[in-house]
Amino acid sequence: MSADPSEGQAALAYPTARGCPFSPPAEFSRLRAIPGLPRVQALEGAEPRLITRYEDAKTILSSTGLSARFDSPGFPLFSPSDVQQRDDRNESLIRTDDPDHLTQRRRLARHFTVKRVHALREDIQRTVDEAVDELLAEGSPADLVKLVARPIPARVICLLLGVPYADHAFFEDAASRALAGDSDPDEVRVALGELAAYLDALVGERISEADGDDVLSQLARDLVLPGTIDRPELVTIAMTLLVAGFETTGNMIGLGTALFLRHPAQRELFLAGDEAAQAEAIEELLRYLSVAHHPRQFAVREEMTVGDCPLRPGDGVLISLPSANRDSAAFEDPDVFDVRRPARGHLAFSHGTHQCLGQALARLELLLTFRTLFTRVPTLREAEDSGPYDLKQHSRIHGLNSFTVAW
Amino acid sequence: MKITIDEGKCVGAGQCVLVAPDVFDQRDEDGVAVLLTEETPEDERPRVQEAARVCPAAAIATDGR
Repeated sequence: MSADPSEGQAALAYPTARGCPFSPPAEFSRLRAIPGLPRVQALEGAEPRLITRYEDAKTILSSTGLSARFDSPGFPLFSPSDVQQRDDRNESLIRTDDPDHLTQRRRLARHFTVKRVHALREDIQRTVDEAVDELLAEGSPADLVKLVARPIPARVICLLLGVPYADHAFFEDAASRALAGDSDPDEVRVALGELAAYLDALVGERISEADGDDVLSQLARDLVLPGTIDRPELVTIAMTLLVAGFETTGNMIGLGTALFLRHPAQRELFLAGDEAAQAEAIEELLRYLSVAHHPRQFAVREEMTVGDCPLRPGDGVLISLPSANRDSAAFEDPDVFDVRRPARGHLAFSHGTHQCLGQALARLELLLTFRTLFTRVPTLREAEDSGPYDLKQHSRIHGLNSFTVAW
Repeated sequence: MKITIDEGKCVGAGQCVLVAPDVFDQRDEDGVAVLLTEETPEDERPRVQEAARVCPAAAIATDGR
């Protein structure tokens, strides 16, 4: 086994200070240039390795030698909500290892295939049109996050899962408290408990009726009734799908609109493209913004070498997807937002067996939203007195709390 | 051209279907990637190679060349 290039170096604080709201902390570009894998400070005295380069991230995320389970030796706890999730034995899909993970994932994957997502196209387009109607009805200036970025993905995932959108204020608030990176573990526990109680009641109805064509009804029929999974497991699935369904895409819409408005020539190039070119532009937007900025967390369970650094069972690793997506070894002029670049292969949805299940849905929602918004509101701009961007602080997903636009 | 899909590895992300929609499809029951036709024309090679490159599970292999 080779020597550790990072041997003897003190553990760093995880970089969080952003200069540009659209770019990861500049510290990551310095770290990418240093051989080896630096140690960073995590909770409970742990010093996991930090992975910042694209090839290293892709290699390790493809490896079968990692564990995503909170109870694996060396699993790095990073935020207070991790403590809560470990202590309460979080058993969600993203915290499960293969082969169990893949078995569970495949039960859900049928509902998120490219074909199934594209069958929803008219529903998504109608949802986007209605959101833009509401923006226009509100009158200029208006908050794009409140009227467009949040409602579109929330309405789509509600439609898909069969969750009443009328309850959106409740579950958006609970999810936001659960996802806040600086929450007290008890606050996270309360928020998740509220969500679980709400979804348990809903799942109970779906199990007793079991005749709907929404995803929760189908899962109740296909998995709970035959005894493949029990009711609490379906509640956990519902929670994962609901929260993942609106939080990430909503942040991409808010932040993506702000980015396009700062780059009008890129917006014109996007609008001028055919569907294939627009789809490629969305890949660049995903790469550039990489809103899942909270590091991927794993414990090493098999010996491996990554970035010339030997890793052993019981080591913890943190992987920065935004940093990997700004690696000049993988993307030419990585800090330039260029909708014509070949950006596919980015790691914004992560990589390996845990790569985002809902990615086809996210891609289609983003494409239809930006195309419709910029076509129907061609004079859209940042409001004159909007001030600095109202960025989410300490959230696991990067994004804007509000964004005042005018037209 | 010859394409092999390792069904045991596939995670059903669907990226191959987005990149090469005339070559790949996903099974309705579990999202696992399948080939649409037995024979894939040679002119699909760049798209198939791109699909193999972006596949999160490294489940797609092609004959060399």
